Amino acid sequence: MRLIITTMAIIVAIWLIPFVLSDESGLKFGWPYSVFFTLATLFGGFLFYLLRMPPMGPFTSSRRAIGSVVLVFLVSIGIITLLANVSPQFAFEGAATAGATAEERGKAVFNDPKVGCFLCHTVQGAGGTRGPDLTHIATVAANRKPGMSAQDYLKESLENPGAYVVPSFDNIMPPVAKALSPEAFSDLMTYLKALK
Amino acid sequence: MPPDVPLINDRLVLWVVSELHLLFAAFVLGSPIFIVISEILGVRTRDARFERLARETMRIVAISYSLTALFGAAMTFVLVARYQTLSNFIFQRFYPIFGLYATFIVVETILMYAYLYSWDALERRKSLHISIGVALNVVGTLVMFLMNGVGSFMLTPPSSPDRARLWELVNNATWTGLNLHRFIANIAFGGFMVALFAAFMYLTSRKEEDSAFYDWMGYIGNFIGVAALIALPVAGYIYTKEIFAYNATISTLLMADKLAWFFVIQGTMVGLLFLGAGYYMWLSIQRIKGGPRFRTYFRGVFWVALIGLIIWLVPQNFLPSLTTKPAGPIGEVAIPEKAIFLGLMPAKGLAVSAIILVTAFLYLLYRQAIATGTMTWGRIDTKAQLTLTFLPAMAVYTMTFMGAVRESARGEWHIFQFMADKSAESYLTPLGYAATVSGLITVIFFLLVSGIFWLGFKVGH
Repeated sequence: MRLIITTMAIIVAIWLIPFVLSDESGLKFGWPYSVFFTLATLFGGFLFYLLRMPPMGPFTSSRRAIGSVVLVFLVSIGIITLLANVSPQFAFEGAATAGATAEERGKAVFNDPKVGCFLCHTVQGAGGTRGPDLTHIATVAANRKPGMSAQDYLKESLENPGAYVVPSFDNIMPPVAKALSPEAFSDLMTYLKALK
Repeated sequence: MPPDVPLINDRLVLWVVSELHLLFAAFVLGSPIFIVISEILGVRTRDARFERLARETMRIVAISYSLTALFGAAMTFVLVARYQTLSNFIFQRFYPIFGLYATFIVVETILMYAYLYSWDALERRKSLHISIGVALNVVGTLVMFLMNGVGSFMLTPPSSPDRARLWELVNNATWTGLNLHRFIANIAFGGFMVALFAAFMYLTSRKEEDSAFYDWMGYIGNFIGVAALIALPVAGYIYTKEIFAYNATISTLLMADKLAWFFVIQGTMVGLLFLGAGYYMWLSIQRIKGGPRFRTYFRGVFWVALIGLIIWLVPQNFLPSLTTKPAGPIGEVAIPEKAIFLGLMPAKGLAVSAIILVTAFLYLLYRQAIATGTMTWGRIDTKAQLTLTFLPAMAVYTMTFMGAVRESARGEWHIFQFMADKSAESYLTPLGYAATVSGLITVIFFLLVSGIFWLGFKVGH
């Protein structure tokens, strides 16, 4: 009984604390975390319940024994599979980009982990922060260097990133253009120029 | 699943047969290591149980051996028939390795059957019999190292795979890490499989003598599994570090991008393995005279392990990939600013270390209880035997699942940044799909293994 009360009290606290904390506290967990901590607490409660369970005698028949072994095996596998299926899922994404527009292919290049643009740059709220936000880079690029077009500025940034480093950022970007095929480079340029 | 992907496709078939091949291979390669050690212990301690454990496990290995070959042949067939460009390249570049592999397989087969069938004949020449067993292990390990060379090459090839020397192909950036990781994992896997066999036999035994033996065998299997499991995260760390050093973008894909949630599920399973092993010891200690006095320590250990596991699993965010734009405010799905340390590697590393250390401590307590009390074999709580069923379920599932992760790490490449996968099924499989397929493979493997236990030890007895 004490175990059930303790478990329930922890779960109630998990769901109540976010209401008490302000956003500024920097400790306010979102609801997916509340679900996570609830599941963890339920599991903890189950674990300590197992420690208190009275001993279980031998099975009366081989059939029952085998049935129990199969049940334990299937339930264990089933629970993990269920957990994996309710966890965040990305969509099936084919590598083949046939039929896609140049902008779509360019976006794929941008988000390709092997090229790594998104690791440092954010576009529309997603991506890293070590480099400037590129959400409106096409507009920004047109005015970045007097007399230089957006096309030329973006080309220069991909070929020789050190030529102009945005203030407050470090000169850490590699010359990405060297790692790209001419087609991929062109697609990436198209994508960046569409970010207005 | 996209509409153009049929329920059964080339990739899925190759996935299933490869994993089944590797599971049986891991068992037939990992088990003989402790089978020989068990035989040696039997000679040294004159405890007949070690000899029986070695012999019965070897019988299972022998039956599993044919299934290993069967699934290996099926895997080769699918590769050659449906992935010709890749298999042509691999077979041509690694031709001498495959020649050596075939030779070693023949030698291993001869040694395996010689070891199994000379047990009675060499009863009085134990050193010769053990030598055959040792040779079997050496050849088996070499076979694994050779194929690890091919497998690791596909993820971390040298700079010019079509021109590099053979040794450069084999001794690629992650060969050592994969060898070490698989070697230890196979022992852990073998230990848990022996525990499963022992549980199966214990629960269906009707003789007290058999119950006592299989109870002891389960204890040994769990011991081997736990001992190797404790070392496994270190090997995993070394392997991952090698991948990171080779190409950091692979590590990003694995740890921070699309495959990051795969590691939350992996952590869950590994954590459950540690807790399960601890729970078995908890149940086992109850029947030792004087054992229950250790219960307070055990409870403390479970608390530490549980908290460690929660810290290990706390995700940095609830987004499926690094580029996913959250539907609502980012604060809802990402770890809060002041708790960010919980989502970073130092906290995870400390949590995993704590779980490992307390499990090792638990085992020392368990040994102490056995040394100072009297163990009554054959009278263990039935839940302990069901726990020995749960442990291999998690071990097999973890292996199949991590196999999928390792293959996914190559992204859309057959050979990383050298040969693109241009097949219709060139995509990263989402977590749910990968887990479902891995779960099905685990169940198929379990059914096959149960069949082996049944045919080998129950039918006709």
